[in-house]
Amino acid sequence: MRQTIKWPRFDSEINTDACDPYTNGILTLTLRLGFRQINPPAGAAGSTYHDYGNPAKPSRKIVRWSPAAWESWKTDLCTTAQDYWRGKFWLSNDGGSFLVKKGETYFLPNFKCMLNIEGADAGVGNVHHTVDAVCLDPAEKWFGSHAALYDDQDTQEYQSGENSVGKPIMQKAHVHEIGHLLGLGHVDEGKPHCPAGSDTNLMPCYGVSDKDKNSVMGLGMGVREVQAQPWRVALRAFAISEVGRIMDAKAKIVPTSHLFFMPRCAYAVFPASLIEVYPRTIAEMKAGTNVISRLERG
Amino acid sequence: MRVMLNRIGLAVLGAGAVAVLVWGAGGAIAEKTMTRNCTMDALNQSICIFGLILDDLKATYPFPGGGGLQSIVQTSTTGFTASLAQEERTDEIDYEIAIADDGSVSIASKSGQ
Repeated sequence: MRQTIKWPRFDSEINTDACDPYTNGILTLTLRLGFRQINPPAGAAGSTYHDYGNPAKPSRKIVRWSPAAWESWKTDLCTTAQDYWRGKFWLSNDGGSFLVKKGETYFLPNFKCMLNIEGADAGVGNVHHTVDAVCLDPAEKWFGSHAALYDDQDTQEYQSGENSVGKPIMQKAHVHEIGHLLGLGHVDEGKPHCPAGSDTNLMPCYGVSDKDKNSVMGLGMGVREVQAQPWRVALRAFAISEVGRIMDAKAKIVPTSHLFFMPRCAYAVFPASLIEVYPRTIAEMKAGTNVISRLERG
Repeated sequence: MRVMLNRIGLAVLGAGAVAVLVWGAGGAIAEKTMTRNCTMDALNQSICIFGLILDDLKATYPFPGGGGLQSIVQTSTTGFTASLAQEERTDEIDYEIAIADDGSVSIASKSGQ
């Protein structure tokens, strides 16, 4: 089965065609970015542009994008951010959805989380996000970026902070910003020192403990299970959609196993892990067993 | 920022001010609190206070990357706000400076970090 659900932030596709007792499903989010050059006006070779695009902030020298630099930067940003985020998470199918039958045995596939980033020039086709970008003058070493405004150096690693013993914490800004475009907030959002609904760009929101600072949604490049949230939201929608299909009067006869599991998807959480968890039998699922090695399935 | 520190340092030294770090046993910094003696005219006292804030930022601000220090703005007689540029955000650190009768100044409170 292949099915697509479109969201404002991304498209999602589930693929269970290859599922069997040993093979999980694939859940792919596709992020379409429309890039827009910010160039010096009136054909000038150089000018200035303000940090964060905010006229109240310092201005930096910018130069005109060359066609080669533009294409190279777009490709680099999309490729490296996609490589960072894709295949990092596995979602455990604790809702009993997407049953696969082999012989008389039903299996519950889990899902590998994939990401495609498609970059094009803004105005060409439909995009989920429009991203502006400046090309810095070689004399400039830094520009204040955010999720919708990048500079040509944002794909490079820089020191974003230091840990409790003074060791540098490094990050590639674009990977963090793509996390925002997927819907992720900062690592400590919701904690007492960074309440949800307040300004979540304050320093403490990027992590207070070393572990949190090292998170990609903090100051570092570390990936955490909680960052699978966009994929979890998508998988939940597919699970609910499946219930609708099963209940459709035109559907094939509903196996009793499906009837047992249908209510479960309402409170399934699809927990994420950073390692592959293999498909489970219904008995294994009921017992709460996670299959982390390839078992012999008669 | 490094250039600015040097200029302030020269100005402060020229005015006879001394930066004092509080050192504990064994030579380690016992606490982050810093003091300066700022007995002088208004201009040099404010330069002295700016120097105190710069010292504190250099010792305690944990994000050496980014765009560096953008401004230190006086918001009240004893209140100052330092703004530092980072990706996505500008960190603003509010200082309340205590000025003693003998002219020594210290950081009474700090928030935003």
